[in-house]
Amino acid sequence: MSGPASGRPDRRDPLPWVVRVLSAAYPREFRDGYREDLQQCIRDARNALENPSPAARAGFWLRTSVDLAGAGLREHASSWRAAPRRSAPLRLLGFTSLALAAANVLVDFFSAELQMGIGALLLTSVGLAGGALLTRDGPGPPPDTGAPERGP
Amino acid sequence: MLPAHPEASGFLPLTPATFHILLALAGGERHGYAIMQEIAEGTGGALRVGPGTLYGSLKRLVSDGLVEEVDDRAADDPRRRYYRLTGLGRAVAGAEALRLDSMVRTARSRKLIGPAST
Repeated sequence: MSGPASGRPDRRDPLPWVVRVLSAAYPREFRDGYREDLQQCIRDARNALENPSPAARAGFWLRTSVDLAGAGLREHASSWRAAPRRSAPLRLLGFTSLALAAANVLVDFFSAELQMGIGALLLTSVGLAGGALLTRDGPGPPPDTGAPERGP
Repeated sequence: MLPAHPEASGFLPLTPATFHILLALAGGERHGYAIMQEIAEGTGGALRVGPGTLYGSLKRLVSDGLVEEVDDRAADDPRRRYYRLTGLGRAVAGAEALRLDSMVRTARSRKLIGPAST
């Protein structure tokens, strides 16, 4: 089916494409370091299916997709925790700005009398943009993927 | 007897998946799928680690210095990356085994489980 013994990739095999889509859930650093390993590991597991009926294949891909999606979320959370942070006062200012802008939008949406004018719309936009900038991670060195360089 | 490693206790307790990965690598160097197989066989199928979980754990274990890549296997099988335990990884796995053993002995002393079979 795939993974010919010669090591030459089988162009009809959809696995690389499927793994590419599924691994989109991961942070870029992780994808760059481990995509080929993930692909090979999934290929090995798929080739080892004892009963390759359509139902077994569907179950295999369902389990694999759930695992990759969950692990991708964990990797994002892990890299988010490891990323450099802006100082606490700046982050508080950012979150406050976001909260005020969101509250303004909600009040205008539910109020029968209030109509958001161009000035309020601009202020809300500035609040959202400023809040987003202040709460996002600051610049810093890329996180260490822990993946050693692959040999030639 | 395992060599004493002062850093080992700082890694405890390990998650079941991490402990089983270290156990699999304690048997020798392995590539990703072989680790998955070893875990499934070692637990009688009770614990199955998927590829995403496996490589997420391996990434952390490598960056923590518990596991390292084996460079000289790449020529034999360039499609696969092999891993092995470091000295620290072996010490951490041993310390976790001792921790679990202590818990089992406590459970036995309180008659939660029967005596160990010989």
